[in-house]
Amino acid sequence: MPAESPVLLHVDRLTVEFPGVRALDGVHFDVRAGEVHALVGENGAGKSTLLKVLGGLHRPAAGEIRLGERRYRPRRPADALHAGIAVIYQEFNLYPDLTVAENVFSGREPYHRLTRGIDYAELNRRTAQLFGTLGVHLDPARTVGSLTVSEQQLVEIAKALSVDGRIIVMDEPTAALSADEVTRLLDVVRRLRAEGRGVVYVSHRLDEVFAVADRVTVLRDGRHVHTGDLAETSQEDLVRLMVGRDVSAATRRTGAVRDDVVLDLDQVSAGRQLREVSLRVRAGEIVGIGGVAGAGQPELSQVVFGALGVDTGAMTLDGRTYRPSTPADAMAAGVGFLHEDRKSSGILPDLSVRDNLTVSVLHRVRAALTRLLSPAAQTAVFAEHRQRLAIRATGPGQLIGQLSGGNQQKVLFGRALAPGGRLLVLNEPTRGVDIGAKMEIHQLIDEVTAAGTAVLMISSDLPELLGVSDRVYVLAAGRIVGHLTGDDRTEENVIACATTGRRVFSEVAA
Amino acid sequence: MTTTDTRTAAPEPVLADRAERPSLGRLWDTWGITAILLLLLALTPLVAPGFLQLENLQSVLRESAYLGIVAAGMTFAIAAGAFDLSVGGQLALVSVVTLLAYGAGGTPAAVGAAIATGLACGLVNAGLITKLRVPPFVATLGTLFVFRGVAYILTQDGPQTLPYDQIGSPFVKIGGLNVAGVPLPFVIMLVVYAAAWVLLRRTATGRRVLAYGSSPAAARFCGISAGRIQLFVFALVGLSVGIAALTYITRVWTADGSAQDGFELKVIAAVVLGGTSLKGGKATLIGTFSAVLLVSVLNDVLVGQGVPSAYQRIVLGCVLIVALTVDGLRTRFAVPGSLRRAVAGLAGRSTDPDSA
Amino acid sequence: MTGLLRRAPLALPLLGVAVALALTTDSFLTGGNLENVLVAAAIVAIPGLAMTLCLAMGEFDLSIGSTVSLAGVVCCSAIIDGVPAPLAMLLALAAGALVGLANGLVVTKLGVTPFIATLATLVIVRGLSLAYTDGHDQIVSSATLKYLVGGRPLGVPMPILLAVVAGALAWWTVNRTRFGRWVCAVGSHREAARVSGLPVDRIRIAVYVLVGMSGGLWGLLISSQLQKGNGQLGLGFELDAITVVVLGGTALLGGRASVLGTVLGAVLIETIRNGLNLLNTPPAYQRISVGLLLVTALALLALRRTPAPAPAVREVTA
Repeated sequence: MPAESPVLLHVDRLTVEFPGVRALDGVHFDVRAGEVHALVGENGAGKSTLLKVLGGLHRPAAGEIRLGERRYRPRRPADALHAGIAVIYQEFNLYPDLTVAENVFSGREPYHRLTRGIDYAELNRRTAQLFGTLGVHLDPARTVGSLTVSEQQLVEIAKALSVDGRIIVMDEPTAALSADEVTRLLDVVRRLRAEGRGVVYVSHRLDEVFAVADRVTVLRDGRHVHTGDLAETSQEDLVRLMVGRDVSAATRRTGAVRDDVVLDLDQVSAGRQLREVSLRVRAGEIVGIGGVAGAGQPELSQVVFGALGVDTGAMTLDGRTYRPSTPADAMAAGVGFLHEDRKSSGILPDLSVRDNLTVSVLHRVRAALTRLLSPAAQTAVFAEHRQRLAIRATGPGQLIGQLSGGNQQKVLFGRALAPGGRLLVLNEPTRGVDIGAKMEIHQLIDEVTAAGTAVLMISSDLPELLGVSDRVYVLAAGRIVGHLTGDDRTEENVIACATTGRRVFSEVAA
Repeated sequence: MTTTDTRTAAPEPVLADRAERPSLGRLWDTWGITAILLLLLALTPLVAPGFLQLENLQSVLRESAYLGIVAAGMTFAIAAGAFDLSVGGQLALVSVVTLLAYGAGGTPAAVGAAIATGLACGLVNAGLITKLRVPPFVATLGTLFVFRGVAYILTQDGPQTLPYDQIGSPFVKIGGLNVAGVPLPFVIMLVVYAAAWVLLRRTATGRRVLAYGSSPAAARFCGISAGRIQLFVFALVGLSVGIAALTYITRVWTADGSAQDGFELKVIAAVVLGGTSLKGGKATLIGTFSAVLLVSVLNDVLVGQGVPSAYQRIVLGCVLIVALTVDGLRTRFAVPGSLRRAVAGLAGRSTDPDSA
Repeated sequence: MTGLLRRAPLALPLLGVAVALALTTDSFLTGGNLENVLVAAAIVAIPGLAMTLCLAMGEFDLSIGSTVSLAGVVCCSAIIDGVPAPLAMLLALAAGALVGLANGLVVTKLGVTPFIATLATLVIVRGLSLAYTDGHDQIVSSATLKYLVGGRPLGVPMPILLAVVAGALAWWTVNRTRFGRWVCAVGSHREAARVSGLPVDRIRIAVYVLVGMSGGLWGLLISSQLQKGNGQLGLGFELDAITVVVLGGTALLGGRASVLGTVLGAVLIETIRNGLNLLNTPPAYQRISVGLLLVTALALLALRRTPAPAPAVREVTA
């Protein structure tokens, strides 16, 4: 029983300050042996800061951390490892060029005393043994760069076990995993708990939190808001605690799907990732694409946006042949695009909010006579988008990197609308965005469809995929294996199509 | 754009436009080096009384022109997150070819050859980088030696020189003429900077260069072609070398394969000193301009004080390291929480006073 | 054979160049000439091996050419001042190590981009050796120094012996020791190495010191050949050192190292130089050849590269 287990980690009145910001303000938190303690909160609530303090990357300004009875003051990542705290950050810390075993035991490789050479037999044996305790099989000699994301996640977990991590901290471990990979991961987490370890589980996905965690701590604006047993907490309570106000989960639709087909893919194949995909998106319609990670979703979106070439098959846009060879072609045809990875492939971090909004439509903010960029026209674009998208920025000149994740996403949404809003290709439109911004973005999607825009939305967030889309296609290994409309749009159907080879095609009038 | 306002009210009030005051850090990024230049200009006459004489000032400005013009081009390359190590080789090659062309066809041929050769060098770099996908820094390290090598081949029988009897020709006057007391090379440099500023800040291409430098991956999905940006910036560097060579060769009158050894370092030093970040995405032409003048004034003072050129190299190298350290610190300070770590790292100890 | 080709793809072009030279010249296949090629290759392979570690770490050291000059100047002027030759040679190696230490400290503690930091030390160190010699040759006549290139213990020219030992050590270090794997780890993902608790700064400084020392040894070998040191030695040598590594297939962006490739790269580059000499090509053309070779090698590598491997590092924002 977790309630009677010893407290492994105790965080007391922890305060962390950055120049001009107090990221954590007197936060307390504890983890017991054999429990999974979820840590939730909106972006900017301070979860990542807390993890980085535990991992020895940030130093607190005040407060103390105890491990059992001993005071714990990590000054560098190595201190955390020695103390038995293993933090698995959202950005993996793996060497793609090295083997699985070399990654797992990095810095602690067994070696011959005499020759100083690494003992590879022993290294691989120990690594295989660790994977054995996790109940998975992974060849220790494989290069990490050749692994899938979920396999890399397992390498990170094995690494945490290899230092005999009594406390294992996971930051959004499922953000890039597919549904079945999530299930497998949660099994591993339960196994860690059964061994008496303490697991800190940070996630935006509340269904996972309820599935795996024993207790939950909610942070808001750097402050501790709530700690309690999950058995006594409802999902609605949790959301209210995180947001600080009541929210309704239901997504409303204001517009109606129109008859005219905007995008039509006919037997489109591209590379090894996309095979004979046929689908249609109508004006005012939101079509969702689901499936396990690596089933071809980014490829599908990039084919439509001209970032990936079509090998065979045909596309039409508004009934005309559509063969974009670059993203510029696609934008010229009125297609907007939102990348799934905001940080690396979305924002232009050194540019202002205004410049981020106008960058793909620079021809529209030029003075007629001189053909030079007009500051006034650019600022007008900014003002219009700020109003429409409710972007919270201090002004047009603020660097986009200084905005919160949700506001960055809204700016990028504005950029995607800029080409004209005939068709929007949205990849994971609310990934890594807090609940408040998520609802605002869903409302925006609803608005643009009401105005006649067609939306192709890829999402690995099942409630979003099913709640926002009118119809859902399911991809598996680059093929469409399901088409769900009406009451067929259930989580069970999506998962079954994506993972079991079952095919479900709803009856629809074409 | 069709804007159908179905939303009756924004869910939350949008912050009013706060009067945008640029932060001290951003002011320093743009004007810091200019402030240092002004300070240096104020102090220099105390050390070197001859500095303020008209001929000396003219000489400093004339000398700064070719460095400054190439630095303007290089600012674009660095803004795009690349740099061109071959500018020294380009300057040697363009100078040699220009002198050959002048011998063959006079002033028009020389001017045409300078521009064309500079552009051609830039296009060779761009071709290697965009078509053969060689990383820019290694590609231009290779072409540095190739361009110099070609210049050596062209001057196997001795350096190319301007005959003294040509002193009256319009071409030679480029280096010597003063316009209302201001040396023509410096006037050319001013024009180049004005054009470069418009190009960087007021054209779509300039904006795309900055966007690409800030995040190549994101720029791709904004419809920006990496190949076109690289083609543009490397061709622009070549063009700037072409223009610079006109002011350079009419000043020194002679060139061979070894001309301006180490030039690339001076150019990169000036751009970085000016406040353009090596990481790309941020650029300041005002900073580059001031840094070029700063380097030229320093150089003039060192030469005036009789410091041997070997020591000048040492000073230049040290100035570059200091500038880059400052650049690095600026970037590190921009990340929250890194300040204390950076200071601790510099001091080589912990900021935690009671650490065990 | 196919296994060798996969591990050392340079074997094929090397064979081609050798066959071509054997057919077009009379003197290439003579014992004396082949030994000259191998000695020259050994001399450039030694710094190349250290540079292999540097590139595997994802970094560059452009200052090595100036270190060559500094080491030569230090050794020769010390001998002229009456310092015993072995001690003078040690001093030169120490000077090289010191340049490496300076590079390492500037790169790690001041956080300056390696490429530019070492470009700056290139100029500074060259300035130091020019200032120290005041532009004059330091001519020496030392049997001990001469032995470094001219000696033949066991009938094998000294540089070849040194290169074989260095090559074996480098192979063992890169593939079998913790230090070597850590270097590759830093090159593969530096932040991960830091979070895993590797002493990243110390590893980087150690590699720069190694490169500096190898540059010192290179300078000694060159001074041993010429029996002099001056501020002009080693101009542009950084290109040679980097080219042999890149030719050998070590990834430019770090993470992997090919020791065998570097050695073959050194042999290839010197075979081509030798060929250009035998074919009476003017020196001006020879200057271009290495630059062209580097660019060609990189272009070939880039063309051969498989299209975008799966990203190993997940980048998701919070």
